[in-house]
Amino acid sequence: MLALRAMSRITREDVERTAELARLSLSDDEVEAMTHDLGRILDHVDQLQALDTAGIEPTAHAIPLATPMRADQASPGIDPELALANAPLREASAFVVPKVIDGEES
Amino acid sequence: MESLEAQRAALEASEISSVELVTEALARSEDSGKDLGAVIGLRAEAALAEAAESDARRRGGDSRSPLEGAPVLLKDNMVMQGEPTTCASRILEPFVSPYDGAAAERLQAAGAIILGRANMDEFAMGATTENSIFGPAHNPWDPARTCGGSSGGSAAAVAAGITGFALGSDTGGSIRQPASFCGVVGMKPTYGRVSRWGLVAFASSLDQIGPFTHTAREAAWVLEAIGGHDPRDSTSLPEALPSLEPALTGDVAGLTIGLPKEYFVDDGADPAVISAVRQGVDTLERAGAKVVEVTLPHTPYVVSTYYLVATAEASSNLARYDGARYGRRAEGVEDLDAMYRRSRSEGFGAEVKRRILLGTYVLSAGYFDAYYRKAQQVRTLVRGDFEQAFERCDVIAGPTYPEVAFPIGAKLDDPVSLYLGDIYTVSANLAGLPGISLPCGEIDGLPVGMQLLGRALDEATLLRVADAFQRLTDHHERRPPGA
Amino acid sequence: MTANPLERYEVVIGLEVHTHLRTESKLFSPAPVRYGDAPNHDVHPIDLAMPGVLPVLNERVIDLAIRLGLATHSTVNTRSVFSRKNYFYPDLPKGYQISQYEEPVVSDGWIEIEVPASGEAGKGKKGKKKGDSATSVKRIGVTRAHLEEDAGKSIHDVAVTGADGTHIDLNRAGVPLLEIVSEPDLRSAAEAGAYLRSLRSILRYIEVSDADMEKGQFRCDANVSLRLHGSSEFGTRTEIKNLNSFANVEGAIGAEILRQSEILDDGGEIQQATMAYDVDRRRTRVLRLKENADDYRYFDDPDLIPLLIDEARIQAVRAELPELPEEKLERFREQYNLAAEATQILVGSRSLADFFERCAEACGSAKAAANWIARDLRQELNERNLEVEDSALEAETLASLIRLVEEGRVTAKSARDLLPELVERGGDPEALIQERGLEAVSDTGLIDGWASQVIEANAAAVESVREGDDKPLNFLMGQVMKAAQGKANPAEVRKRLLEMIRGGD
Repeated sequence: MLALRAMSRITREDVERTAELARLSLSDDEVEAMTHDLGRILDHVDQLQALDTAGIEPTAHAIPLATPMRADQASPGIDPELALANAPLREASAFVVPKVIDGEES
Repeated sequence: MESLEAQRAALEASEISSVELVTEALARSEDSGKDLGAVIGLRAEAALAEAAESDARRRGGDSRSPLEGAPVLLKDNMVMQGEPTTCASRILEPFVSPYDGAAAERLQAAGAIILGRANMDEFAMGATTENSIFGPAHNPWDPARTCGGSSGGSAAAVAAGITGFALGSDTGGSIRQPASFCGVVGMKPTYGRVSRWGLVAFASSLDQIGPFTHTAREAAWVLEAIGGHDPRDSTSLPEALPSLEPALTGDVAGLTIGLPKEYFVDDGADPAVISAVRQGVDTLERAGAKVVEVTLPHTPYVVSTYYLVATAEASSNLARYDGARYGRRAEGVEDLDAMYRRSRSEGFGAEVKRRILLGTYVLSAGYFDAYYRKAQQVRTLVRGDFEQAFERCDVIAGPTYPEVAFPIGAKLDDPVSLYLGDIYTVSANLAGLPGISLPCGEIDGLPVGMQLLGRALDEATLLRVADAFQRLTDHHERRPPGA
Repeated sequence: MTANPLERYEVVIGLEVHTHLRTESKLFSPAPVRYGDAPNHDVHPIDLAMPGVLPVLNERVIDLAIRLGLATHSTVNTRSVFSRKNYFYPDLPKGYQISQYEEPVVSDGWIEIEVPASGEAGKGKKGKKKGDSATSVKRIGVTRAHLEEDAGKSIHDVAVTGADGTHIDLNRAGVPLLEIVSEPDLRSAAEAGAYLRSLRSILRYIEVSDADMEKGQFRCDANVSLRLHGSSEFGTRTEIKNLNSFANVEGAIGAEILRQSEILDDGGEIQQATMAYDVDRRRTRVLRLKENADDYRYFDDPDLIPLLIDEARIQAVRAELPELPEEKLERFREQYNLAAEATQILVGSRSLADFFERCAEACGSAKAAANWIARDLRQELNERNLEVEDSALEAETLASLIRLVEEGRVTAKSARDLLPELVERGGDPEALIQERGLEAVSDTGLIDGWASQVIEANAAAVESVREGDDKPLNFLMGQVMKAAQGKANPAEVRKRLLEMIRGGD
């Protein structure tokens, strides 16, 4: 079965890069543990590489449906007090987050 | 008075009021509910007030449904306006929903009294209800053992008689597996049958809400109350839910039950589990059902497929927990990036992080085709397996889980082996099919669950077979010690 | 170094335009689409990405997307798919944007722009001028247009936020957008500007978008690269983000051309980067390099079903598609035979063109209507920063004013003086003229009185006129009009002056 193992084993660097994408900070121990766990999981799921799926349509939804739509009718927004009730930090009716240090998306 | 059917009968006979039922349920929640770790939040005052309204309706001859006046617990991933929803996660510890979810709305419209919130694995990720900031939920049959998960609190509460029914959510078996461990009925309807509006998403294409009860008949009542089209959920089935109770004829003659040969292999489930399930099938056969062998050839691949699809979706669904608008924000963060990283790292537990990482990884550049897209293709093959099998049978029977409830902590360090236990349940989610787990025996005093799977939209036949089985057996009448 | 880098390099530009769609509610939520409200007053739990919420597609956007597809000669795809573009930013509440990625709703079209016939590259090559200022039409490919939701707003302005936080306003989050991506067919900043004007005009004509740049309803990212003339390979491109006015688009592209050419001239390499345009310094600067290419982890949104559009729906939209700018221009040329400049002005906006047609019909003179609208009315509107539909003046009102002028009942001057009031408050011109005593005076007695005074006071000019020179006649007429405070009927004045001076020959 080894020949079918298409994917190379996940590395610490892969885990760190992935954690970066997911905005998770991992301690060294966590990186170690996750590298081990994800490696084992990926070793197992690599079994799928043995299946020939050429020409098979992917399934995104198990039950086929027509495109659901709603009419273009606006209803008033929710009470801003309700919208902001859970805000960790707010000012007037705006959410407040810490400053962006570098310019990312805008 | 602990089953929904018994409660209904007593309410209808005016032997008890909803206020009394709710008062008792609240007391049990405070007592055994907390000992078991099954109940994590109560809305006592509101529930009592609503019970009084229910009693008034009943006196006025205005009962809304078989659920009128009956207390119910919601898994803590279904929102209700003005109530906390935590998903058993630190990151949502301080969250109160500003809107009503469909499940809560429909239960209330049916007259049910929402008592409070049931424990679960964090964000429904787990099979033991150990991944919870509230601590593990315990199995009423043996508190040293797990009640299963992720809807373990709901299953344990119904098994222990705290409420007559409860709702859970099932993404890969999270209703059926704890139902099996706790000796109750747990049903996952067809994908799209119950609105996901207000269900905190784990894996959107797999998640489905369903009931925990003692009997299939009760499950039919609950499904009739919560099921049906909802325009707020684009994946909601447009078809009206048929009336289910008339389908419960007690008759299985003429129905064909398929046994997938892949579910009955030697190195699969615990032989004692297999034997209990076989006896259950024999019961149905004696009652007139025809039993045939079918094949689901992609069974060895379903767990891999499931974990790729589910974690990919989850990694995206859980991006909204960022500390910006609600939920927990880490203390003392001075820049945006730190807010994200620290809020999420401190807010999510290890299993959730593991799945977010796996899902992020399989969607990332260079891996998408090999993992995520591949899994979606295998999902097509799995659906095809069932389409072919259902040409030969009306329901498929097998074990719900390869073993009975195991000790708490036994599999904490071994995620892969825990994942592999989902082999019989995840297929129904991948293929969108309805499934039900019902007690069919016991091993050393612990319940064994038999799973029945049906055709899409055909909950009626599934419930008919389950109900017929329960008319012929008394497994569902057994109660754990102290219940 | 020579001043014009375009002598050495060919510039290759592609534009990505984000345009807000004209809808009542958001793309996936029923919250209203409004501008200028206090933060977070136009949000639904869906826009806040509350736990458990789900998106449902706004049906209106489908017809708007079809319209755009038809108007840009594109394919309207019968199947398109909503995907999730995953990234973290506080104005993106879900942590992903719902957008169309691999399967957009519209693809493979084009629009036309007018370019100078000699071509931009010919600029500065003196002596090669083609002798006229004629324009030619160039076709610019539209690669695709896809539906997506807008993000909210991050307010960094310290004047607003005070100390050290960023304010988040999600009113704009979820507003429906079409992102319209051009082929890299544009070869100059001016062409980019022409493309944007043309596209905006189309969007307004077909009522897909108000495309108001000041409200942020029409925003542009520009991809710019240079290559040596004659090269067939594209150079490394940079992307200038968030250009929100025509001037900025052209300014930013010009600045980026300069920046890239300086690097290339020095033997350097262009690095793939996201740029920002500093309007004050007229320079582009690197926001971030694209070395670590973003990994957006696109996948089909499992909360949404693919968008299927059937042919019948496309046909229904086609049947109701309004006349497009290019078609209207052609028709106006044939039907009205107006001055080219006036035609361009009138067709430039659908509302102005409609106003013109109603006015021309009501007053019976297309020429007079065109003159009044393209010159006088447009000036009044521009001064007030109004679109014609926002003014109180109706086409029929202007038509009756024009008729009053043509009939000599009011002078053109008096009529023009009434225009500001009509634009601001409307009203009945005839009644206003009477009320203000602005009727042109045709009374011979009165005119003769003013004329006699003028003849007496201007003997020399009168003598010239008497000898057959008409030139001083205009001067004399002006004097009479002055005496009449502009209210005398000019035709009558001329007639009386000639009779009185030359004795009615």
